[in-house]
Amino acid sequence: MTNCACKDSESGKKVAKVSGCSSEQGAPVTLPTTNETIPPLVDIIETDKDFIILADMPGAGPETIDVSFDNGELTIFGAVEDDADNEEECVCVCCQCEPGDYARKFQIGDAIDTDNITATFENGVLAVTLPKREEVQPKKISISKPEKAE
Amino acid sequence: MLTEYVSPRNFLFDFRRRMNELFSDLTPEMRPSWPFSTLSGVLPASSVWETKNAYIIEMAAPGLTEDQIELDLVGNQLTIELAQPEVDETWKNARYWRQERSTEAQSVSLTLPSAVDAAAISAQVDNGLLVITLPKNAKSCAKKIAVSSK
Repeated sequence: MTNCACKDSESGKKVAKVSGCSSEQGAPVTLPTTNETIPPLVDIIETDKDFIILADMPGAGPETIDVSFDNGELTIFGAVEDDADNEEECVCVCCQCEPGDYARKFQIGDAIDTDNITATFENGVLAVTLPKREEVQPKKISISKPEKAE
Repeated sequence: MLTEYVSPRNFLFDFRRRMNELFSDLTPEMRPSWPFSTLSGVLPASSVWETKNAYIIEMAAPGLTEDQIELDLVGNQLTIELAQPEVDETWKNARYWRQERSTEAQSVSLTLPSAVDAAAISAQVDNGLLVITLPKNAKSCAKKIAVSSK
């Protein structure tokens, strides 16, 4: 996978760097608009140093993945690739997979270091890492021996 | 801290998906166009399409690569096995605030109709989406019959 910076939106939203996308570094991108989006299944995991959001987006195109943060809201998006070249007529016998693109929002609290949010997309899973601010990370307090009075 | 918006669409989607899972487990054979005569196991989230020349199964397999998916064909019985998704070692002792994604291996066996050319079945996985193509036998493909005049 290659690392590249996601494009900053014209509105000035912070955009997390996403490994694996092929977008041109620094070029602005317009977020696709759609009325029908599907919230992907997610795990939210907390470690000592980070929060991690894992989102299942099977079938989403890596170039379409967008992770943005604005005013306390984190938005993840992935567009499902459309097989537009295949014009063969087909009938859906059983449609358990809902048609539509993936999108989900999260509210981010003050404990997150929002300047260092990163994300990767691999094998249909988007992993967003939200590091905790230094002051909220658990710290070990050392115990010193008291000085003996003479 | 991370909190999440629970939008009305989010709730309805979850409800509809769970109802689909419930009914797909119980009565897949009752679907009017269901091409597989026997089913054992639980079908992972899938869509089944029928074209003029083939059946196509699109199955969600997020996080899995080709060596974590097994397809076995014995006679006209196709078994699809998806491995348990891997979990990062550093997250073993992490706290899960939300856990929606699958944590278990999945397996399903399908009995293929005689219309399927079992020897020509192919499969590929891309961005967490497994696509299995089951071509129809030549005699089962829809054909136009020309009408001649006497």
